[in-house]
Amino acid sequence: MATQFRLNRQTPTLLETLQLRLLPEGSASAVRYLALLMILVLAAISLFPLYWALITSFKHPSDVATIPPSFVLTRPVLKNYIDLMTGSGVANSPVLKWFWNSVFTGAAFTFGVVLVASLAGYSFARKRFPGRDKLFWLIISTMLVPAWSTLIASYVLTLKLGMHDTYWALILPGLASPFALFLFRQFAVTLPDELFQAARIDGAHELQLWWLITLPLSRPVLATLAIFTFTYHWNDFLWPLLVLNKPQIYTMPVGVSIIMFQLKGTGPAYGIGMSAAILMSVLPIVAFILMQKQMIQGITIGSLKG
Amino acid sequence: MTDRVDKIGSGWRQGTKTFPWPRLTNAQSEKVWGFLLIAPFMIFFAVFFLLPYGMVIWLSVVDWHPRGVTEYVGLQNYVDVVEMPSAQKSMFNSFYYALMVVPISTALSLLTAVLIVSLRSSSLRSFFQAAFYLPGVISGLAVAIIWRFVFDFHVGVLNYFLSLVRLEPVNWLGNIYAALPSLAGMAIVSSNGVAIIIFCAALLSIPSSLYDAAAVDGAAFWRKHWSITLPLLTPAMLYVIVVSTLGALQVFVPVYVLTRGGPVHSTITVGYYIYNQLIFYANAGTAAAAGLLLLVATVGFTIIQFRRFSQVVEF
Repeated sequence: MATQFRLNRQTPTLLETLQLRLLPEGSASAVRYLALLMILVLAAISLFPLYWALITSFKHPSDVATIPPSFVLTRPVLKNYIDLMTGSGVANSPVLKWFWNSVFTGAAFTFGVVLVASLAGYSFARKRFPGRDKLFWLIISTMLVPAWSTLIASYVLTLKLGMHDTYWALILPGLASPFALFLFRQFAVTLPDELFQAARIDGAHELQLWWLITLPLSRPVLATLAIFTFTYHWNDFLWPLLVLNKPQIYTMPVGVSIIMFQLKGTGPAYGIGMSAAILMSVLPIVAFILMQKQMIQGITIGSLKG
Repeated sequence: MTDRVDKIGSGWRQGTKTFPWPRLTNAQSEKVWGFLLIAPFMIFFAVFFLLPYGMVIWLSVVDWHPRGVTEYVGLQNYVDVVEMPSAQKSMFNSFYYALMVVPISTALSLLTAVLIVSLRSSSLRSFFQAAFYLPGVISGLAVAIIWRFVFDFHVGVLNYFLSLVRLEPVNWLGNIYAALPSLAGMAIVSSNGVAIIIFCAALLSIPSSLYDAAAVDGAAFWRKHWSITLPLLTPAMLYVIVVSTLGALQVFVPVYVLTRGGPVHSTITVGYYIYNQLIFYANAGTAAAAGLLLLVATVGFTIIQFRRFSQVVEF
C-alpha cells in the first residue's frame, strides 16, 4: 500500500493517464471511472447553458421555442443576429452604435488603467518613500469593500461633475484600479535590482527606467492586465445602467437589457436574446482562449501570493 | 566618463542643463520620483474612491434632491431603512441567498478542483480548468439572459427535463418560494470558475513529499487529507469564502434581468433595493444609508471569517 515506484512501467495506457492522484492507492478501477464520469458530468452542466445559447442563437426564430426542444442544430441561420442588429423592432435601438460605444470606451479605459497602474505599480515596487506600504495596503483594502456602499456617492459625484450620458462617466471613475495596481506591483517587485542600477549608471532617468526597463519586461503581465480590464469594462452592466440614459450613448449590455425588457414574452424574443448573449460573449471568450495560461496565473496571484 | 558618476539618479538633468533643476540627493530624488509616479493614480483614487466614502456618509444624513434643496435629516434615513418592510425583506433575502450560494458553491468548487488535480495528464487538467472557467468570463447579463430562457415555465429546458421524468413543471421564477433558490442555483452552476482555479493552484502547490512522509508514517487515506490537504488549503478557502460572500451579498444583475425583485418582493436583494431607491424614488439618502449598513455587515463578516480561520491556520 505504501509508495509504489512506477518508473519501470511501460508506456501508460489512456486509463493510466487519467488515473486519479488523490484517490486511495490501489482503488478499484471502477472508482476511477466513477470520478472521471463525475468530472465530465460537472463540466457538461457548467457548459450546457452556453452551448444551449449558442445553438439557439443560430436557429430560425420559429424553431427557438419548441416542445420538445431540439438539442442539435439542423439548419443554422443568421436570422436572430440580423434581427438583433436591425433593432429587433424596438424603437431607438442603434445596436451597432452600442457595440462601438463599448469597444471605444473599453479601449480608452484599458489604456488609461494600464498606464496609470503601471506607473504607480513601478513606484510602489521600486521606490522608497515615506508611508509607501501603508498607502499601498490602504488602496488594496478598498477591494474588500462592497461596491454598493459607495456606488450611490459615485453616482451623485459624477452627476454633479456633469459626466452622466458622456463617455467620461464610463472611463474616469474606475481608472485608478486597485486590482491593476496590485497585479502590476506584485510583478514589478520580482524584477532584479541589478538591471535598474546598471541603467542608472548609464544615465537613464526615472521615466526611462519605467519605459525602457520595466514595461518591456512586464509584457506578459501587461497583456493579462489589459485583457482583464477590457473584459471587466465590456461586461460591466450596473454602472453604465446607472449613469447612461440616452440610447445613443448606451453600451452593449445596457442596450441589450433594454431590448430584452421591451421584448417580453417567449419565442422569437429568446432567439434574439440568445444571439445578444453570444455576441456579448465572443470577445471575452476569444481573449480567454488566447491568454488562458496568463489569465489563470493572474487569478491565482491575487489569492495565494498576496 | 567620470562625470557620469555624480549624476546617478538624476539623469533627467542631462538634456536640459539650462534649466536650474534643484540638486537632489539620492534619497530625496527617490522620494520625489516615488510621489510623482504614483500621482496620476492617487489623484483618480482620491477623487473617485476616497471622496465617495466621505460623500456617502454625508448623503446618508441628508434628504438629497438632484435639483432643489438638500436638507439635513439626521438619522432619519437609517430609521427609514430599518423600518421599511421592503428593506428588511431585502436584507433577509441577501443573507438567505448568500447562505445558499456560498457553502454549496465552495464545496462544489473544492470537489471539482480535487477531481481536476487528481488527473494525471496536465493537458487534461488545463482543459478542464478552462472548461469550468469559461462560463465565468462572459458577462453576468449574458448569463442571466440565457438562464431566463432555461427557467421559462412553458418552453424552458429545465421544465422539459422534469417532464422527461414525469414531474410537474415548476414555475422557477414566478413562485415566491422557488424564485430566490432558482437564482441561487443559477449562481451555483455558473460562477465557480475562479474558485476552482484557486483551489487547483492551492492543491497543486502542496508538496507531494508531505503525502509520502504521511504514507511512511502509515497514515490512511482520510487521515492524510484531513491532516495535510485541508489545513494547507485554509488560506485559499478563506479567500474564496470571503470573495464569494461579498459577491453574493451584492447580487443585482440576475435579480434585475430575471425577476425584478418579484414575485411579491420574494427576490428583492439589498443591491436591488438600493438601485430602486436611487433610480425610481430618487432617494439617494436612503440608498446611501442602506449601502453603509451593507458595508458594516460585510466588513464585520470578513473580520469574523479572518479571526475564525486564523485560529485554524495555526496548527
